[in-house]
Formats: sequence, C-alpha cells, structure tokens
Amino acid sequence: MKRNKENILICSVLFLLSMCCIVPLWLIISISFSAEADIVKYGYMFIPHKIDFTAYEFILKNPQQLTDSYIVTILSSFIGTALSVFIMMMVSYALSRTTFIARKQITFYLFFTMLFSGGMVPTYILITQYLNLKDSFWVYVLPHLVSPWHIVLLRTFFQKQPAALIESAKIDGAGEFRILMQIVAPVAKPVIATVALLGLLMRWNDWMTALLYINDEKLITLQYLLQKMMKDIQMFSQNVENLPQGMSLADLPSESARMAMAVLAAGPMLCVFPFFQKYFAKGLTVGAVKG
Amino acid sequence: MPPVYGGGRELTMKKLLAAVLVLTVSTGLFTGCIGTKKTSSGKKVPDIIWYYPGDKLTDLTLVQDEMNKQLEPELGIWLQMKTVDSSAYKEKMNLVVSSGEKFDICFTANWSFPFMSNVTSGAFIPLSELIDKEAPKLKQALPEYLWGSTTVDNEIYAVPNYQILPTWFCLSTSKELKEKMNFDFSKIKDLKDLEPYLAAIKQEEPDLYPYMPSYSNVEMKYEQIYPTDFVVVGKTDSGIKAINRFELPEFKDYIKLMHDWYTKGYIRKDVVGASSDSSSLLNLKYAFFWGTIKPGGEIENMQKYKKEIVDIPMCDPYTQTSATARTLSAVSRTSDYPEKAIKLIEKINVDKDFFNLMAFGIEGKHYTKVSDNVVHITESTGYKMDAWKFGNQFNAYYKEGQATDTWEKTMKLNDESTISPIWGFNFNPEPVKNEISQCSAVVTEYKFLSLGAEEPDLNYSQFIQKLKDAGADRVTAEVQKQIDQWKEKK
Amino acid sequence: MKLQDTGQISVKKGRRTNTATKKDNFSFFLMSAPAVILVLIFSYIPMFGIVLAFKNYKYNKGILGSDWIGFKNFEFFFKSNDAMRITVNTLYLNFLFIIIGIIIAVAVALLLYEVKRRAAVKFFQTTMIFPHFLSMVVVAYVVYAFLNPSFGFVNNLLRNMGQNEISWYSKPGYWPFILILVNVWKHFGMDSVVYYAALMGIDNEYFEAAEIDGANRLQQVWYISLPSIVPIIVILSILAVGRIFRADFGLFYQVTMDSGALYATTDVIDTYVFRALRQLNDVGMSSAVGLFQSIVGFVLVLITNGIVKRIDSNNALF
Repeated sequence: MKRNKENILICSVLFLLSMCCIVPLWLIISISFSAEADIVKYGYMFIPHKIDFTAYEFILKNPQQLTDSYIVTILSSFIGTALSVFIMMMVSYALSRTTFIARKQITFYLFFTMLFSGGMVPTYILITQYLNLKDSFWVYVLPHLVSPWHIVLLRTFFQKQPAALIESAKIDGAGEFRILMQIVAPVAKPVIATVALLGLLMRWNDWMTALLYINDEKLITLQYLLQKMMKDIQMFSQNVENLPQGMSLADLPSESARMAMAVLAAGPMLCVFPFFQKYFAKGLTVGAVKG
Repeated sequence: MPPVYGGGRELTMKKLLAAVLVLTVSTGLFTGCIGTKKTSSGKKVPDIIWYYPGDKLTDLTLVQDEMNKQLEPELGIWLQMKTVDSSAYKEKMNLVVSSGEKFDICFTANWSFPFMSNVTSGAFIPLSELIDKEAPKLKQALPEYLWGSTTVDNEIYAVPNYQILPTWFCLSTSKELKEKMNFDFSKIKDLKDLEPYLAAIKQEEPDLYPYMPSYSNVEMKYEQIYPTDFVVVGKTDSGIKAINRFELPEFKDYIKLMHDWYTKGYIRKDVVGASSDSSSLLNLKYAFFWGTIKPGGEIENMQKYKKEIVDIPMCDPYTQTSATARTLSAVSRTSDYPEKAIKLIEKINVDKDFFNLMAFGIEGKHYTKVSDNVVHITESTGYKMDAWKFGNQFNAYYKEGQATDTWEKTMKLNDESTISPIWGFNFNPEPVKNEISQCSAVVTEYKFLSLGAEEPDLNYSQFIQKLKDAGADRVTAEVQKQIDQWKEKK
Repeated sequence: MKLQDTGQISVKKGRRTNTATKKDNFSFFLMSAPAVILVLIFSYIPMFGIVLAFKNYKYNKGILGSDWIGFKNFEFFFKSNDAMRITVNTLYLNFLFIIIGIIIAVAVALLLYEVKRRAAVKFFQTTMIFPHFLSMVVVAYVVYAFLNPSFGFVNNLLRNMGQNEISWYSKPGYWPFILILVNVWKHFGMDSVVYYAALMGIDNEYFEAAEIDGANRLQQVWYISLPSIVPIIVILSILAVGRIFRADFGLFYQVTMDSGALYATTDVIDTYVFRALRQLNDVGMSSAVGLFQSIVGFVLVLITNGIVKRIDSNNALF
C-alpha cells in the first residue's frame, strides 16, 4: 500500500512538471493558429479567437524550397550523427581503458578544444579557403563530427562497465575493437542512444552553418530557412513591393509565423524522440559475466 | 557462454577498423578535391563577382545572361551577381572580407556591412584615380557634392548610388482619424504641441495607443556622428561644435515629457518590450507615430498601411553627411580586375537601358511598357530586383501607379535641402575605440529613458555620470579635434 | 563479489589481463585516430587565430601581417565601470544554474526511474524535453506573455486577486529568480534524459539484492542509484565549470528584452561585449574577451579536476 501512495506521489510530481512544459507549448500552438489581427486585438490567448492558417500558408507557400530543406536537413543530420557516433564511440572506448598508454594525453588533447577556440574568422578561413567546403553538403557533416562533451559522456559510461566483462572476453582472445562492438556497445545502448539523440538534435537545430557557408538555396537547412523567413517578414514591412500577391501588410503573420516556425522546427524531433526511447529500456542483461 | 570470437574473425574486425580509417581520411581528401571553387563560370573572359543583399530571384540567371550579352563584347567581362540573404549580409560579408575571398564589387552602406569601418580595415580600394582614368563619365553622371561622403583622406572609396538624400522627419497619422477627430495640425511645430491631440485620442479612442515614442527635438536639430552613439553637431551650426547629445537641454526636456506622457497614459504601458511589435504599427494601432516625408511617399504609405496617411513635418529637409552612405558600391581589394569593375559600375550608372534591364528584367517577359517611361510589372514575375542597391535610381522607369514626376521632385528636394555643415567629414574612431565601446554599452543600457517608462531625474543623473566615467568627454574632444583639422584642410 | 570471482578465474588461467599488449595499444591508437585527426583539423588549426586577440586586425594585412598591440584589445573590457558587475553576475548566476540544474535534473531522472509503466515514462519524457527545442527568441515571447505589464498572465492574476501589478521589465530584483526558473525549465528535461540513461546501466541485481535485504525505496536510491551516477554528475559538473564564464546569450539578451533597467542583475559578460562592440565591429576586441573567458574557464577546470582527483581519481576528467 505504501508503494502505491509513493507511486501516486511520484507520478503527480512528474505530471505537474510535464504540465509546466506543455502549457507553453499549447500557447505557442494556439498563437500559430491565430490571425495576426486577433493577436493585436486580444493579445496572446490559449484558444485562438478564430482558427487561422495564414501563418502556415505563408511558410508553406514554397513547397519546393521546403522539401529541399527537409531533405538536406534529414540527410545531414542522420549521416552526420551516424558517422559521429561511430567515431566517438571508438575513441571513448579507447579512453576508458586504463591500459591505453596515451589515455591521459588524448583526453586532455580533446578536452582542451572545448574551452579554447580560434574564433569565427580563422575557422571560416580554414573551411572556405583551404578545405573548399563553401556551398558543399559536407560542410554540415565534417566540422562537428567530434564533440568532446559527448565523448566524455560515453567514456564515463564505458568506464563503469565491470572489468570482468572485458577480461573474460580477452581471455577468449578477442581484440579491443571486437570487444567494443560485440560486448560493450550492446550494453551501452542507453548512453549511445542518448549521444545519438543529442547529436541529432544539435544538427537538426543548427542554422549557423547554413548562414555562414551556404549560398545555394538548394542546400540550406530547415532551421536556417525558418530563420530566414522570419527576417524576411521583418524586411517586408520595409519593402512593401516584395510582398506576395494578395497579401496586405497588416495581415503579415509575424507573431503567428514566429510561433508556427517554432512548431515546425520542434515537431519532427519530438516525433523522433519516442523512437530513441526504446533504447532506454531497463534490464539489459549483463548475464554474460555470470556464466 | 559460447565463444563468438577468436581466430579468423579477428582479422575481419581489424579490416573493418582499417576501412573506417581509410573512409575518414579519404573523405577529407575527397572534400579537398570536390570542393574546388565552383565560382568560375568557365568563360574565356574574366568573371566579375558582385555581392549584394537580397533574395535569390528565380530568373536571375536569365537576366544576368542578357546583361552579359552586352558586357562580354563591350567590356570583356562575365558578370556574376551573387545574392546574399539580407538578414545575414553583414555577418557573411565580414567573413568573406576577413578571409580574403576573391570578389570584385559589393554593396555597402553605413547601416549594412558598414562602409567606414571597412575603409579603415582596408577592405576597399581607393577609386579616385581609377575613375578618372577608366570611367570618366561616371564622375560627370553624378552631382559633384555626392562624392563628398565617400571621400576619406582625399580618396574616393565607393560609388554612391544616387537616390533620395534628405531626411525629412514627420509625425504621421491616418487621414481617417484626422477627419474623425476634426484635427487641425497647422499649429504643431514642436513635439510637445502634440499633447492636446493625444489627450483627445485617449478620451475618444480608448482602443488606440495615442503615441509611439521614437524621435525627439534632438534629432530635429542635431546630426549624429557615427560610430559614436552620442556625439552630435548642430544642423545649422556653422561653428561646428561637437556636443554630447545627452547633455543637451532638449534631451532633458524630452525625457521629462516622455515620462509625463507615460503617466498620463499616452504611451503604452508595456512600451519597454514592445519594440518588436510591428503588427500594431502596421495595423495603425498607434494614433501618432514617426516617419519621413519623401516624394512618392504617399503611395508607399498607401501600400503599407492600406489607408491614407497624413504627414506633419517636424523639421526641414536635411541631408546629413552620412546620407549618401545609405547605398554604395565599393570595389574589393581582392579584385583582380579593378579597372573592369569600375567600368561596369560606370555602365550601370550611365546607360539607362542597361540599368533598367538590371532593375526590371527582360521586356515582355518580366514587364511591359505602358508608355515611354512607365512599366507594368508582369504578375508573378520571376524577377523583382532592388535596383537602388546598384546604381542611379533616377534612371529607373516608373512603376505603374507612381507619379511620373517623382524623380524630378526628388532631385529638386535633394538640391534644395539643407546640407550638413560637416558634409564630407568622416570620423575615424581608432584613437578612442575603447571609450566608444564603453559608451555604447552605457547608451544602450539607458535607452529606456527615451521611452518614458521610468522616472527620469535620478536615472538621468546616473546616466550622465556613467557616460562621463566611460570616457564620453574624451570622445567628444576627439571628434572636435578631427572636425577642426578637417575644417582647416578645406 | 563477482569481480573477485572473475579475478580469481583469470589468475588461475594464468593470463595477465591488466597490462595491455602492444597489439591492444595499437588497436586503441587506431580507434582514436579518426577523432584525433578531425579535431586537429577543425579545432587546433584554427586555434592560431587566438593571436587576433593581441592584434589590430586589418584585412589588407591579414591575420599574420596585422600589427601586435599587446593587451590593448582587452582594455575596453577591464577598464569599464561595468567590469565588476558583469563578472559577478556571470559567475554567480552560472554557478546557481549548474547547482540547481543538476539537482533538479537528477531528481527528475530518479523519479522517472521509479515509474514502471513504459507509456507513462514516454509521455513524461517527451513533454519534458520539449522546452529544449525552443529557441530563446520564442522562449522570450512566452515569458513576455506572462510578464507583460498590461496583458501578461501574471499581472492579470495579480489584478484579479486585488494586488498591485508589477512592472516586471523594470525591476531588476526579480530577475535572478526569473532567469534561474527559465534556464532550469529549458534544460531539465534533456539533462534528466542523460542521467536517466546512466541509471539504465545499473544492474538490476543490485536492486533485487537490496529488496531481499529489506531496503526501502529511499535507501535504494541513496545507496544504489545515486552512487552509480555520481561519476557522470561529477564529470558534467567539471565540464560545466569550464563554461562558467560564458553566459547563454539568448537567455540574458532575449528573455530580458534587453531592458536596460534590469542590467544591474542581468548584465553578463557576453551581453556587455555585444552592446559595446555593436557599432565598432572589432574582431580583435571580441577575440580578446573570448580568450579571457576561455582562460578563466580552463583554470577553474584544472582546479576542480584537481580537487576531484584527490577524492576519487576515477571520477576526474583527466
């Protein structure tokens, strides 16, 4: 009985926290479906005065561009994350093994870059002048393949693995790489999934790269496209002639468009998240050691 | 536990690892090769690259090809117009220039990709000699005084794109409102004369915000010196004294007035966060707001607000020294063909047909001529260029609906407006860089004073003290010094 | 107990598994190679640009050719009257963010861990990570919807309760709390996912054994769950300390609507630099501040790491 009471308490707290997060989401969705004139009149409301799709129409009016951006974003996010996780997994494992002689040095070497950076100008010069990555798809993938933060996460987790596990594998003559792939990784699914998720999110939300390095509109990512639209909306109020046909400036969905963009940006990732959740499942057997 | 590894499988794993390594390294090399600069158009004549802010237009390549049909034989170049998102223009161009990327011409202004700081940083090449030698018609095509603002240390660093110059501040309201309230604006000379009207609005029209704070008497009478945030010179001050605008009596009176109006309810209560609220402005939720008067402005206002707007002039038309720096074309130091670049700029400014090709596109496809000088833009045209970013705006055809004497009126206004006493002076901020930045920080911190939401007296004295501590007096003195030196050289 | 067993077994078999063979180390190097090369290219090579902090960068002279001006680029920052205020604000607010953030994220992770129904966990987690996706601009709008002096929900509530309205964007005193609240709200969901994943790795057997021994829930949390994630908490804390001098610009600039009246408690290093260099556009000066932030962060990390090392060297970063 005590257990039940405790459970109810726990779920209530969690529910409350969830609500704190949902309420603003609700507000944002509601605003995105409101008419601009209503927003001016009534302010932000939790239920739109009348449902209005202008904001979404405005954003989606160029489906070709949107499709291109979706494709670019999906490809770059997933390819980048897959490569990144693989590379980081390897180095994290190596760094977690106390028998690695260069362990301390490489850890420091990687970690140092988290704090010190040359800044935007030298990076830009490197990427555009020497690596010729300007207006290239690979500029989304290559520069951020290694994140020291994620490496630390992975390494910490790998370190926790019982030494017995690894030792028994070595007894049977397995090499380190095989140990990683066949023993440690399956057990480390939760943390690998976390890092993959974090990496995916980071890439999905990135608009800076497109801003700096991409001019070809076929290669811009979703986030950058949305940011651009927002700035364009602001520009429209100064350059009336560029407004799309049939739209009056007063109807220009600026508040609602901003919220619609937030919805479009966050939406896909929220749908992806449940997919990762199955890796957070409890009770992965560590039974191999028992035998 | 069944052994799942050992022996032969080892090798496969190693191979896999090696494969990954090779993949990574080769990807690196791959990008080195694949990422060859795609900018070259492959033509036999040299490329001229022109960066400008805007949206990528669907038919840009079409029109560009048409332009090159003339440029290739005449000037021996192939023009490539490179669009950069307007919102990112400053950041992107900063990086382009900092990294030494090759390009020839770019758009610059003092509000976007700042002209002055780029001159001092060495981004642009001096043009005086080039223009005299290679593009003499360019010099003649534009009025003499225009060149003053792009001249630094006796060298021209950019070609001004000729358009309207003076700033003519006004208070605006909708005609509908004026007639409804039976307002007579002839008595309004000063901002505070507006008060009775605001009171009337507050009483009769509770749904509206009576006033949107923006400019003050300070802007009416004084001109600001960039890039300082606070040093100004009197517009009609032939003695040219540099003053800290925040110490002016006009400013003190202004913030008192704003606070007074705020407490009376003439300014919206949430004014502090409302600066991004463009909807209210466009929906004419403000009874009175600031704007500028210019020939042809009525039509623009009509398009913008969908209602007729009435303007109350609050000052005389005045051309500040940074006026021409609203739109300029400069030649990059990384250009391999500066002579050809300047010839191109000349052509755009001098050849009317060519300019209109660039501005409107191809006749028949993007527009049709209604009369000699007036065009009708084709619906859903794939080409809507902002011609004012490139050349002499006065060479453009009129769009249907524009009054056909707009350019004449504008040029007349240009010639008749008062010109700044420091016309041609450009302040070099290097000696007081630190103080300027510290002062900038302070000015931004206290900008809320102008909105009226806070009590002025205590805040104001704090503000002035902080400015002084940040070195405001040193900056003002330096400005004065440079002005005096410049005056002597004239 | 298990470890000892296995240890005995390995000793019995006679193969030493606690020293690495050359072959193993070679594997390790191979495995580290891609990461090391990538970091060399993308992080270390551009690092030479740090010299910009000491130079008067002129485009026509390039990075290498521009003149050295020693510490001049740092002056505008250190000589400013606001230097003390912004440093203090940055430090103590970030410090609070770290502490409170960790406490809440860990607590939430532990709570989630107790929930048995998968569907419920899915629901909670998905909703709670949602704020992480919002850009600070949107967050600023949401906050504004609450704190707007005229229409904001909070003031409406106050009015209905007969209290006076508060002009939120003019009273600096409230803002440390507001900022902490917003920051925690934005990050606790995603952060808790990390700790939750760490909890996932705990062998169920420990809990079963504890049940048998009669431990209640709280004891299980205290003696099993928490200690298991201590390594990760410590590491993430050390890393967070490294960034303690860098403020979340979006948070301090957008959410406060850049209201000058609030600067006493909301002005931080990054917002100050942004304001100061707005007109000047000076690469050298902004590099200088960035370098300063990096160095301080680095020193703090070394100190913190050193302290952790003494307590339990396994938990240290390096």
